[in-house]
Amino acid sequence: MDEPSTDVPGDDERIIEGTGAAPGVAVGTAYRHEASAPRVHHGAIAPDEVDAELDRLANAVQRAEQELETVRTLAPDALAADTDAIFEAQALMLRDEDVLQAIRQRIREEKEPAGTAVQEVLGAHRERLEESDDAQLRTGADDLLEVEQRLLRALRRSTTMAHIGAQSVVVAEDLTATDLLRFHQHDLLGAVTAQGGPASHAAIVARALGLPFLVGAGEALQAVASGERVIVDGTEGRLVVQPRAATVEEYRQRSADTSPPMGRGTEKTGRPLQTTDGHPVTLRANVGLEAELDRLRSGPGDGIGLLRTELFLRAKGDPRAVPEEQQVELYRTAAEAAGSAGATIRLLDLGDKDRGPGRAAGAPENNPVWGWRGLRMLLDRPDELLRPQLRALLRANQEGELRVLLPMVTDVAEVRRVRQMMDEESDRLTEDGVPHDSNLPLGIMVEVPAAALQAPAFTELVDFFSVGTNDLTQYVLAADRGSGRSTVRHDALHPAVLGLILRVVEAGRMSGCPVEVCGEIAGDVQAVPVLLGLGVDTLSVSPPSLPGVRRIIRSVGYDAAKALARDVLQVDDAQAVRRRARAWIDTHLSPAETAGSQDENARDPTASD
Amino acid sequence: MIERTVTIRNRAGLHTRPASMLVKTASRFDAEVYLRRDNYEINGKSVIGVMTLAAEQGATLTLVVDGTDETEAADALEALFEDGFGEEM
Repeated sequence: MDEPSTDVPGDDERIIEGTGAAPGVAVGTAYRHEASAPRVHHGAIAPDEVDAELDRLANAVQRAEQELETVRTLAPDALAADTDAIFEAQALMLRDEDVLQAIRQRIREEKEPAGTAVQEVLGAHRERLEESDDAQLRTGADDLLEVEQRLLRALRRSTTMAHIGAQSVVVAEDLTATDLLRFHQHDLLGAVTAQGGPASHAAIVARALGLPFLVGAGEALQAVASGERVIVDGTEGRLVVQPRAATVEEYRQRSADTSPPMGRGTEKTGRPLQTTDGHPVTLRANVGLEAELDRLRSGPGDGIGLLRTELFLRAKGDPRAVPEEQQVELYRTAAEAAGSAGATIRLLDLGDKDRGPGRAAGAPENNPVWGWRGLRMLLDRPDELLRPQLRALLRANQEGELRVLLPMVTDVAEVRRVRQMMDEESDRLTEDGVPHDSNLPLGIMVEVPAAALQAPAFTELVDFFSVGTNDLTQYVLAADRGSGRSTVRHDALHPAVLGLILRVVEAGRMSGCPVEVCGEIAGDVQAVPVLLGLGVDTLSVSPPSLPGVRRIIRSVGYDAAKALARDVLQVDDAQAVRRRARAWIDTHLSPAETAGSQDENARDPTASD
Repeated sequence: MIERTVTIRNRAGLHTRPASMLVKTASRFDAEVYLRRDNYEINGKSVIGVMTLAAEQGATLTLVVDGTDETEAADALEALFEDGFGEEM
C-alpha cells in the first residue's frame, strides 16, 4: 500500500498529509466515525453498554421519524394522498410502544446490540404477516421491512452520537455538511476525511463554524484509531498523530502567534477598501449560520454577499417547513447584522446531494447535481417553498436592506416567473395591509454555464449577478466539487472558468449590472488579484477569510491586476494560471502581506511544489 | 369492560392503512383496547400488532375495551369496522 505517512523513528509521531479545507489548528482526541460501514457485531454487548445502546435506539427512532417527515413533505403532489397514508402508517409503526418495549427488553436482557434487537423483533412480526394467505395483507410485510430498514439506517448513523466525547477530532472516510452540523452540537474541535475536497459543502460549513478541517488525507487515515491524540492543521493541510510533546508545544506557540481568525477587529471601519491605485472594492461575507452574524457585527464589512438559507433555516428544523413568520424574523436578524450595506439572501438551494435528504422523494436521479435542485425545485413548488420565502423577504426588507438571489438559474424564463410571483406577492401583502418593501433587488447565481453564456439576455431582468464559482467550475470542467478522483481537477482558476467570469463581467458592465463573485475562490489569495483584474469589484468570502482578503486587496494595484488577468486568460490550464499568479504575487506584493494572508486562510489546492 | 364481536367487511382486509386508522382512533381514548382472533390477542394501540392479526375480509375478531371512556371508544371503533374503514366492501 502506498503509505504517505512518514514515521519518525524512536516515537509514535506520524504525519499524514492532505488538503486544508478550513483553516485553523486543533489538538484533540481522534474519534472514528464510520458512516457507511455498520457496526456488524452480532455478539452480545457488555452490561455497561446497555444504556448507551438504549440511547442509540432512542436517537435512531427520533432520526427515522424526522427523516420520514422530510420525505413526506417532499412527496410529489400527485402521489400525496396515497403516500401520505403510507407515511402516516410508517410513523405509527416507528412509535409503536409495544414493539419498542420488546426491542428494549432484548437489549437489556439478551444483551443484544440495538440493530440485532430491531431485526429480531420486527423480523418475527414480518414472518407472521408473510404467512398470510391474503396477498393484500402480505404487503404489510413490505411496509414493516421498510420501517425496519429505515430504523437500521438511522441506527448506523447515530452510532457515534451517544459516544462522541468532548475535545474530539472526527476522523472519517467522508463527511457531509449535515454530519458536521450534527457533530458541532457535541463540541467537535476539528475533522479529517480520507476523501473530499475543499469546495465541498462540508468544507463550507467547516469554515463557517471555524472548525479546522482536513480533506483528502487518503488511505493513511485508516490507521488512525479512536482515542489517539491528534493535531489537525487545516491551514497547512496535515494531521499529526500521536504528536510528541514538543510538537504540541510548537503548535500551541504558533496558534498563540497568529491570533484567532475571528473577532480580531483591529481594522478601522472608516477606511474605504481600495487597491493601491485607488480602485474601490466591496468585500462581503458569505454566511450560513446565525452564529456567524455576531462576527459581522463586531468587524468592519460591506454586509452579507451570500446568505445560504438552506443552512440558515435548518437550525429551525426542516428548511422546507420554516413558517413565514419565523423566516421574517431570521431575515430581519440578518439585515440588522449586515447594516446599511445590506444582505443578499439566496433562496433555498435544496436537492444537491449533501444538502439534506431532498433526493428521497420522487424518482432517484443519476446526477442529482444536475437535476431537480435550486430554482427548479422552487418553481415546481411555488406555494410551498417559493412564495412564502418571497413574502418573508418582502416583509423583512421593510426594516433592512435585502437583496434576493436565485440559485441554479438556467433560463431567462425562470427569472421572469419569479419576478411575476414577487409582484403578485407584493400586491397581496398590500391588499392584506401587511407592511413590506417591494424595492427588493433581484439577482441570479451564475453557476450553470448556460447562464454565464447568456448573461446579456439576463441583464434586462436582473439587478445583479453573483458568480458561484464552486458549482460553475464543476459544471464547466466536469469535475466533482466534493469527492472522487476528479476533485483535483476542480479548480476555479482554470482559464475556461475565468473566461466565463469575464463574459459575465462584460455583460454587467454594458448594462450597469453589478457582478460579484461569491464562490470560495474569492477567498483564495492567488485568485483575488486575478478576479480584480477581470473587473470583478465585489467579492464575498467566508468570515474567516475576510481579514486576509482585505489585506490582499489593499496591497495590489488595479492596473497591474488587469495585466495579470489578460495574461492568465491565455495559458493552458489551472496549474499554469496558479504559477503565473504566484509569480505575480511574489513580485507585486510585499512578503509581509503574503505571509500574513497565508497564515489566515489562503488555501492553495495545487501547492504541492 | 366491554366485549364486542366485529367483522372485517372491506375487501382488502385489515391491511396497513385500516390498521393505522384503527390505532389512531383507539389512541384517542384512555381506555385500553385489545383485539382477539382465536387465541391471539394484541394491543389495539399497537399498529404492528394490529397488522399481524392478518385479518382478511370476513374474519371475525373480538374487540375488548376497558376504561373510563370504554363506551365511546367501543362505539367509535365498531363504527370503523362497520364502515369497512372507508374502503371498498
